[in-house]
Amino acid sequence: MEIQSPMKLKRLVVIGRHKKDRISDLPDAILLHILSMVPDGKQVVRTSVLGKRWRSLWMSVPMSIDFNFPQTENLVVTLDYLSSTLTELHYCKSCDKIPRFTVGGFRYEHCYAKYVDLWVSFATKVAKVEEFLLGLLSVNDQTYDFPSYAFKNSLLKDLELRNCQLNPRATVDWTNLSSLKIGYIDLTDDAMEKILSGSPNLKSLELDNFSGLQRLEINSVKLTQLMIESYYNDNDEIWLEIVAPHLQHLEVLELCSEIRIGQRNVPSLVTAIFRLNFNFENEEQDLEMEFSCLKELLHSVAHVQNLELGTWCIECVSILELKGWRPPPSSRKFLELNLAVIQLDFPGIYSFLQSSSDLETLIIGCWYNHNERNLLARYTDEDELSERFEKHNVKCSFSHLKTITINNFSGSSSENKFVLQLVKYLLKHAAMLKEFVIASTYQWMSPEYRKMAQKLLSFPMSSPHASVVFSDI
Amino acid sequence: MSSSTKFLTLKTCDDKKFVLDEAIAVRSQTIKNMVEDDCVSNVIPLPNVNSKTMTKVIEYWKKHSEEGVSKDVLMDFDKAFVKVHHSILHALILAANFLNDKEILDMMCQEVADRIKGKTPEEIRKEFDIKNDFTPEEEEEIRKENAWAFE
Repeated sequence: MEIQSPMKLKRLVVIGRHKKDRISDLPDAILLHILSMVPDGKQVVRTSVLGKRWRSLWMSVPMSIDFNFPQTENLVVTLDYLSSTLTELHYCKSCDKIPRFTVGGFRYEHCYAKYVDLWVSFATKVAKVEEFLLGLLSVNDQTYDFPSYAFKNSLLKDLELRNCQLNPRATVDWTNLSSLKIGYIDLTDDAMEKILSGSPNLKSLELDNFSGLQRLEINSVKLTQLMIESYYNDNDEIWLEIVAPHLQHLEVLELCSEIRIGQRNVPSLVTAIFRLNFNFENEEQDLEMEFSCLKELLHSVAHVQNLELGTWCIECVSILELKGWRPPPSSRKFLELNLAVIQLDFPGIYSFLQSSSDLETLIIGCWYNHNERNLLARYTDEDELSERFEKHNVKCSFSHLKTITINNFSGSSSENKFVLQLVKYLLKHAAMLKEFVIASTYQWMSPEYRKMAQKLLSFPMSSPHASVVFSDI
Repeated sequence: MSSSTKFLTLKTCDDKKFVLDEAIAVRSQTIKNMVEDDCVSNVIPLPNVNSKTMTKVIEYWKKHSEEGVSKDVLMDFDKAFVKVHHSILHALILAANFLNDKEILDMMCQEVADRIKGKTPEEIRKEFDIKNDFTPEEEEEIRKENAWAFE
């Protein structure tokens, strides 16, 4: 049996006396601030029954509408979810403010066009959202025809459209649009031109899994960021040409058909990220074409300050180096090279280090489990590469190199044979090094990790002031 | 501390005085504005804040002004700081609102939101001693009105 002390009893009495509904006394602005921090919109609505003070508060809380369709082909489940979206929209009409509307994972077929029409009209006309994501999946190549009235909207800031056919018949008016993502669609030069000229405040453009576009001309001073992922076309005769005099940040990612950037097309570019893999129709025959296309890309961004290259690019540059090609000299300060660690891509790495005499920061990203790579093996073998590496006449100037980072370092000693060799070489020659960072997914105290760390620490360093940092990813 | 350290005296509604380094006190935008507008005489009155609440606020300010405190330590401090009875949460919210300290205000509001999260209306009423002033019929009507949210 529990015996309550007098102290405890006294406290209980005091609390009891002061028991008062304080929270309901808070000013509207604060209660709304609190409710806007409750993540579940329905729960916010449920506060309406707490008491009279709460009855209508929820209507003034900014509300997001997020439809995430269940991943199923079951017709009953899909229809159920579709009808629930209509119910939700009906209730959301009472909300004063709906800044965001997202639809994700809906398997679009033409028979559902009416539903999508309703979402689009709700988002753009009723709710007047600032952020709208219409993420449709394609079933049997069916694409949703984005309605023409929605091309005129001055409230949208963020827009993402997937599997939506964009054919603006009149001019586009997206005055306040700042970020636009378009994906999984066939685009035309004409549509893109209309969209860009109708979006004068656009800052960032992302295109992924798209085709059809042949010329992307960006003339707006404000549009400084462009990301291209998986551009494809079936026709070797056409390619995508990018002209963007004010662009500062460019990313080209994943498998791509031919993309060209003329040398003077991106004069303002500061950062270029090429984690791409050119994948032309006929791999065997087109290999040389892929090489020459990559060379052209690298020439067009020779002036950028920050350059990042993916594993495929490094592999190609290695082959090109063996064939006598050298990257153009550059004043870049930052270089990130991603390596498939199973292969010795030293020729590519060297040629890039040689062409980057002002380099201050070097990041080596390690990629494991790349099984399909065998291109370099066609041109040389491991022994020859090792020999080349050992005898390599060091022409790289590391006079400004201050930071080296090894990213995503993991695996066993044998897997990292080449990485360790590279690190040893870098530490030996980077005389001005200040910081050597190893970012790893290793468990801190695992024996494997300690072994590897000891090995790294045992390499002679030419810089007297360098500190070694081990960090978690 | 340099010799130029200035101290301010804050007086709470229950007539308690707190002498505080100006550099710390100006975490309150309200006090900062007063200092900048040069309308600070000897004592700054805080008519809406009691001494118990002010002690908590100053405890927070001091901890977050200490030099060389790691992020982890601050996170643990904040976690413990918000674990208080809702009546104190309420007082701190009002004080932070009056003092115009967005950091404390947001942290306290987040705590209230976290206590609401995942609870049924009945549980929320219990947590915050909210008086249900609806008749059962009225409550039923609202539930019907917003049935979709109660499914």
